[in-house]
This record gives sequence, structure tokens and C-alpha cells, in this order.
Amino acid sequence: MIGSKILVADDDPAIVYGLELRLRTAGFEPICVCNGLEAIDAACLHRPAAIILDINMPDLDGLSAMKRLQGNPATSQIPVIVFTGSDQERYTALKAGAFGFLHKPYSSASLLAAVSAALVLRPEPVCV
Amino acid sequence: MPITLPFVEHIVHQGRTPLTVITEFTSLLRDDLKDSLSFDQNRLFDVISDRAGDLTYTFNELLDVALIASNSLFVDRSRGRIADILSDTLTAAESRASLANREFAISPWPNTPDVYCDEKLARRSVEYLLRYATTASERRTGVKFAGGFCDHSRRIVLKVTYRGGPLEANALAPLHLQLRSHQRPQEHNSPFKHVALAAAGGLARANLGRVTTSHADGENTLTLTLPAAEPKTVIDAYLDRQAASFEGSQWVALVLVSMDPFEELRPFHALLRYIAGNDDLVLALDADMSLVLVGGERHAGQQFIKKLQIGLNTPHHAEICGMWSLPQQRSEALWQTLDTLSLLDTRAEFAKGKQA
Repeated sequence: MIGSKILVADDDPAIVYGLELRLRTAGFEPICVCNGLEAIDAACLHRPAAIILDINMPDLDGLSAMKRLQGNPATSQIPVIVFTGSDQERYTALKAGAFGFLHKPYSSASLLAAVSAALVLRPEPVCV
Repeated sequence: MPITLPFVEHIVHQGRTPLTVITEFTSLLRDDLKDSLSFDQNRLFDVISDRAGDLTYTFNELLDVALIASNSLFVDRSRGRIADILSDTLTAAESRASLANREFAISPWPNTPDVYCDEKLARRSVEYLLRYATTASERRTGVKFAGGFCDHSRRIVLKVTYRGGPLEANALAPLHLQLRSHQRPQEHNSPFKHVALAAAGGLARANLGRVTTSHADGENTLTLTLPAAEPKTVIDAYLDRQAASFEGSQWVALVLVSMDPFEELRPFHALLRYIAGNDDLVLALDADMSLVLVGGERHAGQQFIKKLQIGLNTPHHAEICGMWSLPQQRSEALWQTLDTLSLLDTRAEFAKGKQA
């Protein structure tokens, strides 16, 4: 798990910075982008072990980005953890296939627990 | 322009984002400096975290009150152990009480049956009650929390007790968000003084439970009840809520839906949930059969069946096997019907249905 690439997508640079520091300190290799379109490109390019995706982002929102990732055989098996503050969004995201969710503001323990669970429980990668 | 739910959601989102940054950066700094921090510096970090928690609480409260007032609360009920559900909430309350120089005592948990509720709403209800009690309690006194079970009503009972003067009779009255007047309420008569209680009460209702208050010997007790995860208890709690919701006559129909055993159940349940809008109760008792309790006007049951057939576009068989007018016909007839259908005392099947 240590050294695994984790893709982070959020339009707030300070939140991305915080996540980047926290994940790097924990031994992961964070890859940071600021919208849904960049998240899709980065997922195809880097094949991260997990993705942390904000719901509310410009250009392409998190739920739409997750659906596109699921539709691509190269990225469909990557577990997605969504960032959300709403119970309805959380439910919608989980029904749409999100692995887990994080509430803003999140605690470092819940972040690392969610990422670790995603890495341990994710399905076997598909070779394409 | 009246304040709408999307506006409140927007404000809450805008507030939570900087809070996330404050919380995370504080935590990162603290982790980085942990070996070199003095006692006072640690205390300062505690206070920052605590105040950030206060703001998070305020945003949650604002959103919950708006969701309750607009009847848009999202509910996702399942069965669980109440001690597990509240574990983190009680730990946080303990640390907050310590910072506020209040005692906080938790009575040992007795063994209780599983509860049937939306876990997040249950946690927030208890957090509102504990916050209210901590703020309202007299200095140098504390807050006590106890969990238990009422065997007679089959409800999980959670009690928050603190020393203080008696609450006003309308302390639990629902808040109506009609912000049209510019007139400020008198401080001593502000309807927002008890907003946490109103929010806790609204969330409890959504969870088929209730919040009550009592005062004796200089102590206030805030009581939250939630139904045990047993079909009869959950239906009883649902009927309680329906009967209390309307001044006039309210009809409840019990609809039995026969399922094709080879049908994928998940979309069916999702559709039921969508149609019921999370406000009515959907009980899945068996893989081959669903029992649906539909509340509303006299023809709500028939309307439900029509929507079901249109939505599924398949010849599912559905029939109304009982209709009752509340509260007049709240009688043994309902339980007799359930007995006839052999649907009572099926806890294992109930659990299986929920997992499906």
C-alpha cells in the first residue's frame, strides 16, 4: 500500500494542498488535479490505486466524472471516494458505485481509513 | 426574496470548505510539532479544533433545520447497535464538556435489541441534545447520558440529564422558516433559543422516534426514543408518527407486492424508495414478497400501486390487504392482518430483507 498512487480532484487549491501533505506524510504518492476532466485524464495516464473526488467542481462535476471513469475499462476498477457534505449526494454517489465517502470537514483518521480500506478491498485490476 | 433550501445548502457548502482547510491544516501542524508542543500550545490547538467543531455543528444545524422545514430530509434507515452508532459522538461530547469545564458522565450501556434508524440522523439528534444540555447546564454541574430499553414500548431510550430551570412549554415546537419580517424577536422570547431541541425533534421524527422533555428536582431530562428493529415495533412507530402528523383523518394502506423470485430486487427497492420519497415506510420482509405501508389520503394505496406498475413497466401483482383510518381505527385489526399474512415474528426474514 505504501507508495500507492492516489489521485485527488478538488477545485479548492488549499484542500488539495492539505490532502497532498497528509497523503504524502502517510507514505502515498498523491497526484493532484482541480476538476473532473483533469481527473479522467490523470486516471487514464497514471492508473492510480484510488481516487478522491470532490462532487462540486467546475467543468465536470464529481458524479459525472465517476460515471465516465466507470465506463472506461481502463479505469472502471479504480475505487472512488467522494467528498460530499450532503446526505443525498452521499447516497447518490454510493448507489452510482462510489467505494466510500468523506464528509467535509474530514478528520485525518477518516481520510486515511477510507483510503486504506479502498486499497485493501478494491477488486483485482483488469488488464487492458 | 424568500430564503430557499438551495440557498441554505449553498451557504453551508461555502462555509464547510474553509472549515475543512482550517481543520486539516491545524491537524497537520499539530502532527508536525507534536514532540515540541508545550502544554499551553496543545491546549490552544484543542480550542481551535473545538471551535472549528462548533462551526461545523452550526452549519449542520442550519442545514438540518432547513431540510426539516422544507420536508426534504434524506433518510436511509437500517438496523444497527445503538452503542456502536453513538460511540464517536459520546467520545467527542466528553472532550467538549471537558473544555467547557463541565462534568460528563455516561452510564454503562445495558444490553439492548438492535435499533432501526438512519445512523447519521440518530448521531446528530444525540449531538444536538448533548450540545444543548452542555450549554444550558449550570456551571460546575454536569451532563449525564444514559441509554436503555423500554420493554413495554419496545423502544430504545436515550436520556440526557442536566441541572437547570424548567424549559418553556413550546421548547420543542417545530421551527417555521418564514423569514419575511424584519422585526427582531425579544431576546428572552427568541424562537431560536431552543433550535437544537427543535432540530433533534425533527430528526427523531424522521427516524420514527421522538424527543420529549421533563423537569424534576431542578433537573431537566431530554429523552430520545427510537424503535427496535422489529417489524411490529417499526410499524407501530410509523403509525404513531402518522397519527400525530395530521389533525384530521389520515389513512394508511398495507400493500402486499408479490415478486418474481428471479427479478433483481435492488432496482425494485430503489424504485419503492423513490416513490415513497423516504417519508413513508418500506419494509422488505422476504425475498419473494414486500410489505409496503403507505400513508396519506384515502386513495394513497391505489395511487401507490399505479405508480409502481407504471414505474416498473412489468406485471407485478400488488394488492391492498388492509386500510385503516388514523387514529380512529388504530386497533388490533392491523396486527390481525399482519398475523394472517404470517409476517410477524419474522425477525430473521426482516433482517434478510433489509440486507437484500
